[in-house]
Amino acid sequence: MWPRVIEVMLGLWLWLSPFILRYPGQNEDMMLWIGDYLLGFFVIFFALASYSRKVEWAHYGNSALAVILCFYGYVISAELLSRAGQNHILVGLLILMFSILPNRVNHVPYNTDSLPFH
Amino acid sequence: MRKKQTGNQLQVEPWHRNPSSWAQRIPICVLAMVGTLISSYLALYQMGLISSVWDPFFGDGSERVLDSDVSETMRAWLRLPDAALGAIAYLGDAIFGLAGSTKRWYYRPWLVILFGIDVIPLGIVSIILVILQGTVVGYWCFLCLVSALISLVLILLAFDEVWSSLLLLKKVYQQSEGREAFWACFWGKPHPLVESVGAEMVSYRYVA
Repeated sequence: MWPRVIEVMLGLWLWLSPFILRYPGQNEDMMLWIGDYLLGFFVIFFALASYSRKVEWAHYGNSALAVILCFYGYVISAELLSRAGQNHILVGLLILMFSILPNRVNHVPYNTDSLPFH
Repeated sequence: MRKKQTGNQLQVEPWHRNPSSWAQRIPICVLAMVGTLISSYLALYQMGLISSVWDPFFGDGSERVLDSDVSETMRAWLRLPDAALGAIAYLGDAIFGLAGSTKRWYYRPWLVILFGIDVIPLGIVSIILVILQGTVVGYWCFLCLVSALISLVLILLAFDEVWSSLLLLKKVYQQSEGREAFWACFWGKPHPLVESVGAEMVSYRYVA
């Protein structure tokens, strides 16, 4: 389940990044803050939901979010402050890489007692 | 010297070793992490967070390369310093290198091929970019050359596992009617044909 743990960490990073990267606090820039908080929330939500056997595929939701995050970062880095946009693209690419890994990725996906290994 | 393992050793065609073993994969991950660190350091300069780059041989060559027109053009396209993208690619090598069991060439060919795409074509692109820097920009950057060398070594270390997975897929494709067995093999689903082809590719060698 280590990819899910790292996704939670990346979601927390999205919550912290408005402070660490010092996004401006004026009203017109509040969308940046809201965007990071919403996306971070759903990243953490999908990662934790994957622990439930019923929705163990929920982490693929993070793949979709990651694409949105990259696209969002690409669009806003054209005019708005580029450190937020670069952060979105980089975090999006990272989440994309982790989110396509299955939950128990270091185990064999099914057991064969016979072939081809013994 | 690595301690020699004894007992029945798994061998995967066409090699005399198991290309998915940790002994094969951990060096790739360590080297990829070194690549991540170097690229991150260069990205910090391109992002303007540090004011100079360490270069023991080419003086201000590194800075001229990192501030070059080629680099600025790529930055305008990517909206990201090219070194940052390199750092993500190296980190991807390490992540996809660490993911999967020691039999992943058989159980998760999709993962091995994704790993192969990250290491081999992206590695070749990064080597070409570094050569371009020397020839088009006219200056050399020591750490960029080191990262190109790392890419090259990573390709050499990683290709055996990708080769075994591709060989399995090719054999399954040739022996099957229709594509059902092929996709079962690709996504790591149980299938009788995949098991028999896998058994042909696997052998055990006794090491005393």
